[in-house]
Amino acid sequence: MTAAINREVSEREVPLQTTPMIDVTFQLLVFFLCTLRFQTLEGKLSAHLPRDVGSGAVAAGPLEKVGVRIEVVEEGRKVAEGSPGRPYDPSRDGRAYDFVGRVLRYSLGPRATEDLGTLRSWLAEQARVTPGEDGRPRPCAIDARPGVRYGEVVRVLDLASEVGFQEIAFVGGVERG
Amino acid sequence: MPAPRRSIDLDLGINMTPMIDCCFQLIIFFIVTIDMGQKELESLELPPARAAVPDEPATKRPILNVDHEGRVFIRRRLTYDPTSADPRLRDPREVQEQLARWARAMPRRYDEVARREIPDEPLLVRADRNVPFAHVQRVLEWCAREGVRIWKVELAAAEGREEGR
Repeated sequence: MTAAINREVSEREVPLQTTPMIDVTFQLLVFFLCTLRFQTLEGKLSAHLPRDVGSGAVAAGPLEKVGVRIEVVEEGRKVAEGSPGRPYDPSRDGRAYDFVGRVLRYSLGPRATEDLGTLRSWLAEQARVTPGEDGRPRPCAIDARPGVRYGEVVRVLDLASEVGFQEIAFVGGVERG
Repeated sequence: MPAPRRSIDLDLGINMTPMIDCCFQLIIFFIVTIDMGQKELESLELPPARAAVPDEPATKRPILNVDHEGRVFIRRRLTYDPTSADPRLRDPREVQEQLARWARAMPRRYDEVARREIPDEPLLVRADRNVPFAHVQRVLEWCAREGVRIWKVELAAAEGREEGR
């Protein structure tokens, strides 16, 4: 009698309860979809730091390097990114802001300009006219004065790279020792 | 006379197996690809640059992030904050030590200008486009220090966008 019951139980089909598994699977799927961060396509510009000096500030040799100095003439005012008419509000706009009325002066030797196009032509001229001993453009040294932003330095670095400078360094210093 | 309707007993149960298979495949895909190679990239507003070359993430490359307030993040951890009330965060030694560790791990080559062996791999510096450059300059100065001597740097920029030209 007992053996017959056991056989009956073993032959009965046991349905697999898949609903909780599907629930969990979908939860996981939704979680991963929500947290997915697509790979950011970034670029990079190469620059060099002086190799022949110790710590602290360094000076650019005026005869060996093409020196570009960046200075802030007008600080300008912060506005919301993409909305020049709206003042920047950190609580609303986060950290993204632009400047309106900001003026920078770019100096290349005795010449100075506030226009990036002019600076580009000067840099191109320097890269072409005064090559170094090996025929390549001389090193370019960017001297960013206080108040200049990272993006503004990158813009000049970008121009220098575009016109053919291969060795670009930074001069000036914040602290010593 | 219309034909008598026959009731057809169809089993309309949905076959869940392929769907579950697909879901698991997707989950495995997400687990494998999630945030790989970007663990060290802080969320920053990068400046655009036309001459920027594409950054191809490599594993174990040194990356240093400087946010819009000049704070330094390494591997998603705040390691230096010049304006912090916490003196430990105002102390740059941790960043300097990390730079020295990176420099020691880099392949070296003899340099004629420096007249010594120096690290020969770049450090990727990612900074917010609106951070004063002095904060980045400070990091570059730490790189140039004795015991570190990282002289190749790459400044991160957003590729291809045009702005303010």
